[in-house]
Amino acid sequence: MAAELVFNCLLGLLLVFYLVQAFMLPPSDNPADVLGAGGFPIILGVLGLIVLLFVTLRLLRTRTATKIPLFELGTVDGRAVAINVVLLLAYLFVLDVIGFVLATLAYLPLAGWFIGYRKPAMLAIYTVAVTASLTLVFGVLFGVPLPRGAGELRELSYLIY
Amino acid sequence: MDVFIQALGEVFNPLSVVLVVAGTVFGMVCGALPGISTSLAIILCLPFTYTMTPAAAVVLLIAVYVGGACGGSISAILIKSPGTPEAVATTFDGYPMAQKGEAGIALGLAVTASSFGTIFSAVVMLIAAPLLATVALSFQSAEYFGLSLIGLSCITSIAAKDQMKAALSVILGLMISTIGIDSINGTERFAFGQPFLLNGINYISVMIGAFAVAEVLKNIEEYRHRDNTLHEGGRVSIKLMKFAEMVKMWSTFVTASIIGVIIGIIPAAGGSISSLIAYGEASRTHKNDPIKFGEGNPRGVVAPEASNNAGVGGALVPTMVLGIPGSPVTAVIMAAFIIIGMRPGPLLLREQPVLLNTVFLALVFSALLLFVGGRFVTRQFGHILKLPYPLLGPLIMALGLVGAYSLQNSFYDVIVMFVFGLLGYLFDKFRYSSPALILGLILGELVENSLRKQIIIGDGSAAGFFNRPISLVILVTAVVILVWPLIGAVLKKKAKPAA
Amino acid sequence: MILRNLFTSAAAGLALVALGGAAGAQDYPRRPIEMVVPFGAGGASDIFARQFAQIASKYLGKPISVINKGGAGTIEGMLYAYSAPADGYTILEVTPSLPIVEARNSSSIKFRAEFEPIMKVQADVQLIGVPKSSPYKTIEELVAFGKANPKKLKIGGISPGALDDYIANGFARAAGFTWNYVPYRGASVMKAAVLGGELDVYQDKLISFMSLVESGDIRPLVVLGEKRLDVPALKDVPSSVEKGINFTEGSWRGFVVKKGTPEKVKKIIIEAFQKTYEDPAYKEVEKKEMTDIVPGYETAEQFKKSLDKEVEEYRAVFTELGLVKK
Repeated sequence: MAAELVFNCLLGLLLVFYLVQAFMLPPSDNPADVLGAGGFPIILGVLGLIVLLFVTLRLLRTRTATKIPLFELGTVDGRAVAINVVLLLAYLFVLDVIGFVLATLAYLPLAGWFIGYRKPAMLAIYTVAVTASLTLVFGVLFGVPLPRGAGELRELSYLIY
Repeated sequence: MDVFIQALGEVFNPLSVVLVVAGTVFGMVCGALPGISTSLAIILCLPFTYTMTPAAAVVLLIAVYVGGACGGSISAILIKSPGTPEAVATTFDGYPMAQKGEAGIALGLAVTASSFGTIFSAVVMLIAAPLLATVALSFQSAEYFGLSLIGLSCITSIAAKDQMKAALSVILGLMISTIGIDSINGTERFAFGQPFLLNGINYISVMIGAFAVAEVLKNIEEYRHRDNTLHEGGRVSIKLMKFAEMVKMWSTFVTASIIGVIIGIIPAAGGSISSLIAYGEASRTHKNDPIKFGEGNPRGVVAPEASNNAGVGGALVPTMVLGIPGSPVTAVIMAAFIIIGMRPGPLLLREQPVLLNTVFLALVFSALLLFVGGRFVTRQFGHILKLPYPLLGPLIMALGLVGAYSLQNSFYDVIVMFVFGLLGYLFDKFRYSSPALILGLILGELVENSLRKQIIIGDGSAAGFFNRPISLVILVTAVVILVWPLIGAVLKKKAKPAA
Repeated sequence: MILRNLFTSAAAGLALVALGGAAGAQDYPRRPIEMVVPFGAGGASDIFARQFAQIASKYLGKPISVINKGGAGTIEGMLYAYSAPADGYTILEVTPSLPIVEARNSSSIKFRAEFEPIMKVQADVQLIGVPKSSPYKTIEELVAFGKANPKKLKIGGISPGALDDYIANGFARAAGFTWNYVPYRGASVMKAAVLGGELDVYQDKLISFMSLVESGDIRPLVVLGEKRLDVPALKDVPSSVEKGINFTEGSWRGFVVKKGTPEKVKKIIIEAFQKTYEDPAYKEVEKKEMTDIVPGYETAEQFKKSLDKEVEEYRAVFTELGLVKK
């Protein structure tokens, strides 16, 4: 219940922030545009706050407990999820540094291992096969300019896609 | 009749057969890959059309379009990440079916529904194209507003678990849709000077995050406790549904196709809206089915897939008759028509009488190919589910990431995917509704834009919503759909007060 | 197999990189060239770029791959071209949208300061018309009504603060009246709004106008330009200048590269694009798309000057509209 209360509070803050921003939007220079840029957002913000209030009141009354493994780092499951979230984030941020191919080659086996897969040979074959097919399909066939990385790696990537 | 025979000759020759097969398969693959849109698939085919006869070019483009409209369902069903926006509603029941080991049935149904919808719309198009084009013009801002409300009313069917939280989810989705440049007067809203927010948040990257990424996270934490034999023992069934059983659902096939054709004709409402509305309609009509909607009801796959493919024929009507493309894909097709020397517009069908028949035959031909071959091809994709989850999960993540990136070749879309992946995970835990969030996000722009535009057109008055007959009918329908479940719930409570 | 290829090509690549650097300009181009289109796939500017690229690759000797970077209203495409090295391997397509971004101060990257023109390739004429049921038969009647009823006439466009906003309001400003500019998301919805009677006035580029004029659904009132158009169906439509309205803006398309690109490389690109422009296959494209009826071709030098002039004009109109960021 505590976790959900925190979530609701954050949501509430977000809604209030949104509403304040909406009120600050300038009125339309077109007199026929009665709602203007801010009108619709204000309606949404107010509606959202009302519904959130009901949701929170109901929560306080029923006191439903929610289990969220991601925040329970003491458990095996919690660690598996948390590590995977961190891995995905790391994957995102190294893309522009080492390029798509290397980043994927690193991400796939690590993620698989931490979910609980323990056959290194299979993992290696899988990693190479998936990386190659994603790069070929998206980079070569569809001409998507996949992240190339910086410096020399950028030059190298042109040889593949 | 002469023109029909002439068109027959143009479509049923060896080259065209090759083109239809290649086009349909290529379209399906593009549709299945998240981030690769059908529009892109058609653009990639354009250079090949330069050297073809106009008829062959038309055949190829139409085949790609039909394949693409169907392909999105593959990834929607298998990895809960719709490959195209049109397949968003297919995830609601298609993915639960795959979870139950019925991936083959779901894929087969999707393909059958797609080909039915295509043929249905092709016939309607052939018979009544010029008449239908007037439908496109009778839809103006007021009608769009009503339509967007009907779309929003789907929330009562996609979020049965917790109506209040679903309502809040829709509101959040609508709020996200207001981020970016206001499309009426150019004011920057909630962008905080960040260029990447100016175009707004792309709902496909949100969808990949909140559906696919969140689902992988959920599976990771369950992996150690659940029975994994379904995957690792290779018991994933790819068997198809018996034809007789499918026929029993004929009403859903037909209703969804009608919805798809009509919404396809209307320029500002795409396949994603038509599949949502068709899904909502099916779930209201059949809410007493033994298998609940959202838990793997086959009709929940048939409705969106029939309607989004019926939109293909629908969207081609105003494109050819008025030069007004009914969908983003037909906008590209129109550009292609110009390249091959045909100028879509009111005179096109008079100057090129064979064209309509060629398009009709290309549609029917591609649809038949889908029905005969596609059912057996797509279910082979089902084998992907035999991968052990620790390998499937990261694969879905990497595919989602490339998909989100490919939308606009932008890194920001990947970040959006990540953020909404986490949010989707929490939404799931707190019993909020990610589909409702997406619904709000998809429809937000249409709701606000048409509302404000009608008021501007009416010089500040909202009377236009009520004195235009079509608008009034649509609005009343929307209100009834939205309010009826509430009344129903109240009546039920009164009936059994002790419970 | 794939792996081995990867390794050999990686080794070859390393060798190339080691040799590269100084060698750069002499052997340009030694790998495919990227053409950045700052719009989504499928629009008029994208289709133009793709067709031009296909023909130009013949003269450059390497494939030109078109990359769509449609995010943030052209800013992301500009950013992408800006962050790539100035080596001529990244060519940016330009339309009025980019100088408009600069004129409105919407981006921290100043377009004219960071890029150098290669060539302006084509111009796309804009027309203004009314649906057939409209009471206005001539442009004078329309302007007269506009003057008597400020902000009453409704004209459609695609997006606020973009080219068609500028054209609608710039035209009215030059003719001395005001109207109500209503943006629609997408040209098709706007067209339907005109034909369905929601809008009073229609503006669009020539190719989109043609089919509706030929069928009689749209009555063209004025061509924005110096002279009448050499198109049979439109020979009776007056030009804005002949009616004393000094406003001739339309869309146009050209190419630029990042500032600092070696002169030799620039010369190679310009030569290849020049040949492309003269190629019969390209002329055929122009004919089908009905672009360049009024020639838009400008050399790098002329293009530079016309860009300066246009930014000033954009700034004047958008300042009046309150759309320039402080």
